Amino acid sequence: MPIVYKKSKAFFQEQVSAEEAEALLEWLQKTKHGEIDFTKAKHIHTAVLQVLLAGDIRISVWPEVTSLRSWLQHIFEKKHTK
Amino acid sequence: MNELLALFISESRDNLQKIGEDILAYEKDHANTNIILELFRIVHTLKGNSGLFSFPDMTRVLHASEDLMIAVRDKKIPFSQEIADTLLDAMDFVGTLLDDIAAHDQLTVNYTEAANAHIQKIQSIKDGAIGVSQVAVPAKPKTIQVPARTPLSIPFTSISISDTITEQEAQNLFIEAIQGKCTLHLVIYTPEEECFYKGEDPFYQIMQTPKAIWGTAYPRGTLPDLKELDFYRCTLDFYCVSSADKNDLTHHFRYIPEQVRIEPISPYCLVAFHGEPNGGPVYGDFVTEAIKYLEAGDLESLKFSAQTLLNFSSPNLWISSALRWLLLLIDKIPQDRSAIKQVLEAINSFKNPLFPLFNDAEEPAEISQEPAVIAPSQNDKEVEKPRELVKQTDRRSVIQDIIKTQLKIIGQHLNRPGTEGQMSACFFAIKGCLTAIQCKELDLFERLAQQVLNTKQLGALVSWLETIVGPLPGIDTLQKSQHAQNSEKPQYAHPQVQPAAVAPSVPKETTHEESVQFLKVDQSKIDHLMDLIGELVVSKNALPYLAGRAEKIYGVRELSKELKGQFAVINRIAESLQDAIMKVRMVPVGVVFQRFPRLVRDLSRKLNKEVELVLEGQDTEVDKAIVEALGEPLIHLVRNAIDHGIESTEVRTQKGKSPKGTILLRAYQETNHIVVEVQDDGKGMDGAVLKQKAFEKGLISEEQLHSLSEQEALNLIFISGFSTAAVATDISGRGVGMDAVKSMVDKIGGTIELQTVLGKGTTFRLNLPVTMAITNVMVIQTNKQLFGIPMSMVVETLRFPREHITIIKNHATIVLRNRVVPVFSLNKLLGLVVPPLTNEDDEYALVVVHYNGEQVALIVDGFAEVVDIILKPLEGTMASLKVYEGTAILGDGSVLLVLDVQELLYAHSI
Repeated sequence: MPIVYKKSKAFFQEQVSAEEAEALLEWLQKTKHGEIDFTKAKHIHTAVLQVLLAGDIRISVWPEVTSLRSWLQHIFEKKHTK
Repeated sequence: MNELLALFISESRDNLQKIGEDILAYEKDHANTNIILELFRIVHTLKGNSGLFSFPDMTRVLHASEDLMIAVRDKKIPFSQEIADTLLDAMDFVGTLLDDIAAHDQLTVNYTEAANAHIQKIQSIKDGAIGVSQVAVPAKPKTIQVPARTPLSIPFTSISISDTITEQEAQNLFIEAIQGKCTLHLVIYTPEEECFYKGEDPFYQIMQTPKAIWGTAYPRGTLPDLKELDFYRCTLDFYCVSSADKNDLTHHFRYIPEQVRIEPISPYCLVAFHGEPNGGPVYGDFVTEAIKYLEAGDLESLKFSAQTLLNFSSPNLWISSALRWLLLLIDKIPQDRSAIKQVLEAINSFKNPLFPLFNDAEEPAEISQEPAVIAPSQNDKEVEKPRELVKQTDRRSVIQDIIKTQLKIIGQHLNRPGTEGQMSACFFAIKGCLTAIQCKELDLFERLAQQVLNTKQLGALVSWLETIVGPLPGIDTLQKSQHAQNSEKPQYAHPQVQPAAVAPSVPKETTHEESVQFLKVDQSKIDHLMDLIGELVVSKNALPYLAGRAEKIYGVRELSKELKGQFAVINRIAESLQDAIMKVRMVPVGVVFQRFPRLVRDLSRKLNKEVELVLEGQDTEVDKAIVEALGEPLIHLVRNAIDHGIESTEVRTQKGKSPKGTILLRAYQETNHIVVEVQDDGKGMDGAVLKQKAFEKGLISEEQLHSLSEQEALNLIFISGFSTAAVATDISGRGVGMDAVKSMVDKIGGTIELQTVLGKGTTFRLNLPVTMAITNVMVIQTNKQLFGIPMSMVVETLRFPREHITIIKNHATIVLRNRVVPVFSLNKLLGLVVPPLTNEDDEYALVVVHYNGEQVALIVDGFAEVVDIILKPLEGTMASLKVYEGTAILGDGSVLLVLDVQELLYAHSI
């Protein structure tokens, strides 16, 4: 599973494809201030990225992969400061 | 050539042909959505295939065409002649590329500019940016940057690249940049909203940008709340800074150049400080002092002061990084005081300096000074209202798309065991769509879904869904493709056998046709097979000869009998084999006819005439060699009919004719030959005028001017150099057309006839043999030599008493069934000085043959047999001997020369 949901935390793993967007959207609608753990994420599809940007999230851990981390930080830090 | 590439070329050509036909068909019948769906499907396939072989120019043009078709399909823009022209031009361009690839295995010319011109034209029609009728291909195409040159809003004015590259790397790049060794570029990527449906992932694409050192994304406008978010539409814009060469960047985004803008940016964005934040006021003094030195122009002191402080600071500190940058600027660009000052102020404020993104001179775009707002505010929503309305419509079409896709998947799995899980997922997705549009009949949906699983029929569900989400036009086609896939038809089917659209209600019994399997075979292999069978047919003829020898020379009657028996068996098999291969070679005349709708459309528009083309008997089958040879003559005839035959609309109206002229192209089989007719309802031809023209041009004598019959006068148009058009157009009328047509038709063993009624129209009738491979010839004997005369030329053979031959005006003639027929001695025609022989009753052997619509008798010494032969054309120096059609090997191994009677008589007459 590219995204493992545990209570208020979602763990992103490996390649997160567009098919995950719908489930993530549903989870975010149910979960206020959902926390995202990107540790194991290698890539996130644009559709998923859009859902994350529209949602009310907190990023708890950035990805280990440097390039993805840097991109996501630039994208999200405009909005969130942990 | 790579086999896959050869297959791609052959398949793409078939697809292009079909696209051309579909565009013309849709132009005539806008209401038929099946055509546009089919069109879209073929273009999509073609695009996909071209992508496999990496021909980006081809892919881009097809991609743009596909977009235009989507706009037409979704009725966003009305279909027009201009759209048809544009799409046809684009397909011609793709055809040109295919020709190049076919000839050289790869593209040998840079087609990017031409591709851009096509894309730009398509884009402008699609966007409605300019009036559709004003669209024209610019003579010198502009570069693809044009759409991107429009002002673009960038949601930031400066960036600081501080985390993706080390300070050392940044400084090295900075030095290279200010020395002009490299340029930093900002890539602005605005993906199209529908990109996910094309399998694109813009985030992945931008992250793979070569030598990327910084990047971010901003929502396009305001992202809606989660509830309203349509995540299947991409509304993010991406920005990336790269130190790569612009060509490399352009190459990386070669499939989507219209969505990407690449701009050079200032190298100062690299100035960013890294390290442990430690300190504060203690550096204040340094900054105050440093600014003083700077204002006084004392860079040496400033440098000394900075170096001293750096020596005392730990290298890992933020301040050390700042000082290193300061020293670098002083060292490399001492003249840029404002930059040095900005660095000092940044140190003072303990923040990274923010230099403008673009050098003033380079600033390419309107930069939005407003920072992007990510969270939607109430005001934003009010301002965005019209956009929301648009989004609702888009949303519906997206939902329709999703439902269609799901139905397609369900259709594919219906009859496969063990796919219930996949089907449930599809039903779940459809349910999700219905929920999204607040459909209240979800119970009914579930019942219908269950029904689909039980009955394996989609019809009821599709009808119900259409009442909810509107028409689902693709489903007919989708079902069709579902059948096609179920039948496991090979991917490369015969081009002529495109499956017809099957309505969902069509019963399953119809699928038996689809079990027919097609094999696409290289023509040369069939030709080779044909040659071999031809040899077999001829060599079997040696058996009766052997049987004869066995009996007559060796006196073994029994063996002779057995040989004859075996011959009968081999003969039967050989004939069946020959029939079978003949059938393989048979192709419908429609293959040649296909090119004419486009030709007629283009020519009639060029000449400002209204012409309708009617095609009949396209299924009539002819040997492929005939079909191949038929193309050129027919083009000449159809061109002539439009240019000279059909009158202009005004003239037609004056004459009380329908303003629209009609050209009928008809093919049918008549006993053992094929007839192809080109008939127009134009002005017809006047024999008297033709005679006069021919006389004026010196083509006929004054005697002929008065003596030629009406039909003979009409046949004058087949004489070389004859043209009645006062002004030769670039289409036809240079006087080379009709004689070229005649010689081409003669070459394939056919004849051409002309019928015309002045003021009513003209009909050209081409009588063609069904096959060219095996020629039926009559073997005759003259001067103890055997010659062949093609049976298609022979009218009859007869024995004629010598004394009944009469001389009229120095010509030997006979009266045959009350008709005067000229008689020629074959010996004389062949230049043999031997008189023809008669039989015991003093009768000549005569072969009556066709010659220019007349009959001519040839005196020969005797008749032998009629045989099937494989006619081999004369080669090398012999090829110039036009009086012989070719040669063939007879059963006893001897060579038979086959006469071209037409040429023989023509050569004698001049």
